[in-house]
Amino acid sequence: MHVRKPSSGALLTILVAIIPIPLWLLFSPLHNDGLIKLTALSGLALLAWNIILSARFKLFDRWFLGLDRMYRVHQQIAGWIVILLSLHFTLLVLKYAQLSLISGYEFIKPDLSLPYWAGRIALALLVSLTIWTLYFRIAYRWFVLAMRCLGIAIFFGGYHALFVPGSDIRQNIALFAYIGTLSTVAGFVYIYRSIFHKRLAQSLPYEITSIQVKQNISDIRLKPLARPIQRYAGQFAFIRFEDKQLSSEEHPFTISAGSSDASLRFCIKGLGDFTQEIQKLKPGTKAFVDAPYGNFSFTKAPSTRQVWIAGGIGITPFLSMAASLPPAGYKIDLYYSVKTKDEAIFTSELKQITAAQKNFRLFSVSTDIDGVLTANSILTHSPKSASFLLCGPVAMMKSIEEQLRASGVDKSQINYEEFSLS
Amino acid sequence: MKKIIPVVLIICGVIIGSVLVGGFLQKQQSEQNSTQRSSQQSSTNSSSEPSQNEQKSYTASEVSAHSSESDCWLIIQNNVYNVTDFLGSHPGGAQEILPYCGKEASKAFATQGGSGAHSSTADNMLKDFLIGTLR
Repeated sequence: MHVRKPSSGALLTILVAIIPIPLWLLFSPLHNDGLIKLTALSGLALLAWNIILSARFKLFDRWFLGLDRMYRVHQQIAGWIVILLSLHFTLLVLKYAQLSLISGYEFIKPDLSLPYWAGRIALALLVSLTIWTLYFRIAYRWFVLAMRCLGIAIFFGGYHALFVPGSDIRQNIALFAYIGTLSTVAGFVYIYRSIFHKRLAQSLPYEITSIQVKQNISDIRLKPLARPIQRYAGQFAFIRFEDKQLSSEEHPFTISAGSSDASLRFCIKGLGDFTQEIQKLKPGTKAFVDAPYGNFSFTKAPSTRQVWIAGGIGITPFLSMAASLPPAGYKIDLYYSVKTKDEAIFTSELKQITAAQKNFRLFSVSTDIDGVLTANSILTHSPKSASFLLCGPVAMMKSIEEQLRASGVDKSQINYEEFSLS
Repeated sequence: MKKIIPVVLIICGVIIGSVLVGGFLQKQQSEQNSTQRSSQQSSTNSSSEPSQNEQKSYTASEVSAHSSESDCWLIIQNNVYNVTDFLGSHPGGAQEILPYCGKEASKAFATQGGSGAHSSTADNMLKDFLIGTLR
């Protein structure tokens, strides 16, 4: 859910990054090379923090107002780490280059001791893998592998910070305690995540009862083998299927079943290797589900008069919400936009709900026939004062948000699902 | 954020790259000069050092007068170094050097104050601060 005031998680992140500044100013014996050391200390603290965030503790879902938002912050933190630590190294090079160009060259050249090397390896890992995952479209399993390699940077970085000559961490007990605690927790989280997670996660067992593939979308239903997951409409789950052909990694998907339904339903578009392989699954396959996560739901929006805008497969959270609508209390207009009419495979299902629910209206928009969905056409049927919930391709959502804002809809009225990992 | 990162990385890369190339060229040049000089010296068989490279010699008591943070000389392997300008840049921090200002520091330098050994990089950096020999 996109709430514009910063979440407590975001504020905490800023705190993590700036705490080294007062600790360094107050407790370090010598104040030389301030910028060089502070960029490194903040960068390392953020690196440890980002690894801790990756543990996907349920607590973070609340602190960041949804795990989807947390991942957005996680990505921004990664950017800051790269910037801070690159500056750290560049400033060091400049410092020696000021003495003489040859000193600068001697510093970059590789015949230095182990702690210097550890620092360089950490920086190289961070820069290369962050660029790879941020600027290139890669398959989810490569993404997971890249994240796992990124985590190793905390061990190299921590070793560097502790043993590099002139380390302030060794001479400053407050910094030692702060960076030491963060890095140790991060180290444990990393080991827990990469080695033990599959066994320790609180995933619940489910079994596929039916699977239908239409228009490259797998519509999968699962029944609980143990207790069902408590959730509200619009949330998502991490799911792992027990199938030899499929990767054993967990993948995040929106739950499309109504919140009171004990069974689960996922509608998954075949956009990558994994999501295409899913189409071959058979009923009876076991699955493990870690849920619920996310904060995108009609129950969280400020107004009960709501406009839901779905682009293509972005319909999935709204299927769940439509199936969970109470008989009275809400008034909903759903705009379901698809490229061609064939793609609108959920229309008949939604029409059934509109027949039963008087306060739920469906507007189907097929781009090839009706043209692109615009804020103007939405606002001819729906009031400006409504709460707007958006889910779909990023470009489409951004464009509609801008148009809505230009028509006088306030930022705080617009919420969107930020999940775009898979 | 996605736009800032490449800008920062490119700036950092250009700085590091130019120091690397500049330093490498300068080093090669200085090595060439010193071999030229030594060949000149051996060919002329001159007994005196070239004037630009003239080195003074100091007594230990002369050196001991330079024992503060604002004026710090060290004796390492019978050479005298004025490291005042380097104090703030010492990777181990100035406080590691300060106790040796004005004094014999060969052992401290060789063993990094007892914790290991300096790299060849440190040897090369030290050359920049040579001001003479011990008498």
